[in-house]
Amino acid sequence: MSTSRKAAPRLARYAALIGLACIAATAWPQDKPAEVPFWAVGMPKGDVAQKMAPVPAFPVATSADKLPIAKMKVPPGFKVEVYAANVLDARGLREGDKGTVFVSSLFVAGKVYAITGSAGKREVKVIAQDMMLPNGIEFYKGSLYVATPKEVVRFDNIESNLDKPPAPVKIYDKLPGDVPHGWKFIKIGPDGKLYVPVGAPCNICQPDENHARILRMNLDGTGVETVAVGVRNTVGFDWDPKTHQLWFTDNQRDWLSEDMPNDELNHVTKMGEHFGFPYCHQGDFPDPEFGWGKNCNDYTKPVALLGPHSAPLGMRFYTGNMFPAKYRGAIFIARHGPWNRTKKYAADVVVAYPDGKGGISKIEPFLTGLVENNEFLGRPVDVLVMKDGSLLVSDDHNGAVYRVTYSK
Amino acid sequence: MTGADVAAAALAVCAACHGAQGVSTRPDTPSLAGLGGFYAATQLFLFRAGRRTNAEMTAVGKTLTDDDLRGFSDWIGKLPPQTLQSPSSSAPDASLMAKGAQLAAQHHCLACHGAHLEGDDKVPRLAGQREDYLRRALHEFKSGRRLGYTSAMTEAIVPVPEGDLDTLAYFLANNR
Repeated sequence: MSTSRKAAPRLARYAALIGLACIAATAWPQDKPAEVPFWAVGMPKGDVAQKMAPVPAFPVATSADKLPIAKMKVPPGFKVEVYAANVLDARGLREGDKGTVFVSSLFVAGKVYAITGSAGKREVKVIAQDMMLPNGIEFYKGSLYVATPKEVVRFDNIESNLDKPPAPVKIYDKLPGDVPHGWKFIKIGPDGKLYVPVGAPCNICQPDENHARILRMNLDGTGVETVAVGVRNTVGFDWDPKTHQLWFTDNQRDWLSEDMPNDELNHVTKMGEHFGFPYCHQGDFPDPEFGWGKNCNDYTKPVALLGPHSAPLGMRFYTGNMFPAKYRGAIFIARHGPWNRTKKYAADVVVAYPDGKGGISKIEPFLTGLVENNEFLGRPVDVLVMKDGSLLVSDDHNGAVYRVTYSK
Repeated sequence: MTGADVAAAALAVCAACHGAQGVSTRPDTPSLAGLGGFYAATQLFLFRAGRRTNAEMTAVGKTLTDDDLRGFSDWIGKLPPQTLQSPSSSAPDASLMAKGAQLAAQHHCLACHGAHLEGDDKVPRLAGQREDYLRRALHEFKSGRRLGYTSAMTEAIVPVPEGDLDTLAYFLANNR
């Protein structure tokens, strides 16, 4: 038999973004057998589209000396360095009161890490493992909160117990638990409530009343309320430090076209607002299936478009003092880069400047250079403004955390 | 480790069971020749992490450093696939092959594993793989005992009836 490859259709190719790697057999929902994985639903016919699939990361973190530091471009005066290497599948970033940097992970590692120590002798410790898609983390008043698709738990007094973390305290376990878009980004708002999104359990579908929304709850899991609906899959949000209003990134549907629809930056101004999914995408584009009889003007439009399939994830308002004045109050956004597009781009950090009137005046690139020969050299996932004003960036493709500093 | 060191170590560790050129003559032990380096790395990673279990490979996995994992998977990825041997000397059973071909088409095996089941860097080659190993692998995916690095096989095997798995293994192994 020949080993030459013909352009074979690929209906059900491997799927790093929805991998089962870290899930116990019993955790896999078997009640709805699917002929194709959820991300492939809606895939058009044709060999080019059918060869596309989520890009799996290599199962070993890139060693410090091989990280693409020299490839990364930042504006004049800024510098990128390795904050920590060997953080396999590095995703969410949070800073503890005592300077510990907590890092979550997703499919490949299923772990939560703590990075301690200063430059030159930094140490990466595993503080939780064998968790199901523990992408959502938050640090608040000494405790580390960790969210899986099903539940939120809390590790108390964590920074004093990194070598022997306490047993987690369960605070909420009634989330749907879906694998598709079930992984979390969580954060505690200026109102002291825990914000927990529940994504659409599909590429495109009519979600029920438990999905495609952002919830908030008291820190003991009581008082669950809906903050926003029509949200397909947000993996990053933050509050404007001046107005205390919530802004979030949202990943839009796949397979419609290479260049449609754009992923979004959204701004919540009142409780329960509807952001369009599944009826209207990018504020002006009715879905070919679910958009009939719907009007895009009935939904809150995004404040900025972030590029087709660019996968904007973590975002933070810049509240530090290290960077030049123009960055204060601006939003840093990590874009993971598209899998659902033949030409790769993004895989960067951009800055969105609020216009003071609830919108965005402009978006400019900040950290670039991680796409080469149509392949990713790295993929930013989350950003974190450190207390010293520097910016950390996680990269799940290499399993690393970078630090961006500024000096005149 | 240098390339020569890795090759020597791989020969000592892997070849003992999987054959000098990665062509297995040992029952229940897959051939490595023709597997992609990325795929090999994911499987070594799963053995090391205890997410794929096999008494011998779990023991090997515990000893692997990240450098070993990279080195061994590179070595596996470079083994020439054409050294695969036919698992049996006689011609395969025509009716079983026809049934198997129909099952492979129906369940989209070729969509991921290639038009000739040749695989690629991330998806394993099935053509010419040992039938006993394929049979076990399919049953383990079906029962949920084996989970892949991604969910692709777990999802793909859902609609395949248990009773068809052996026919499928026969067809895949006798493709070469």
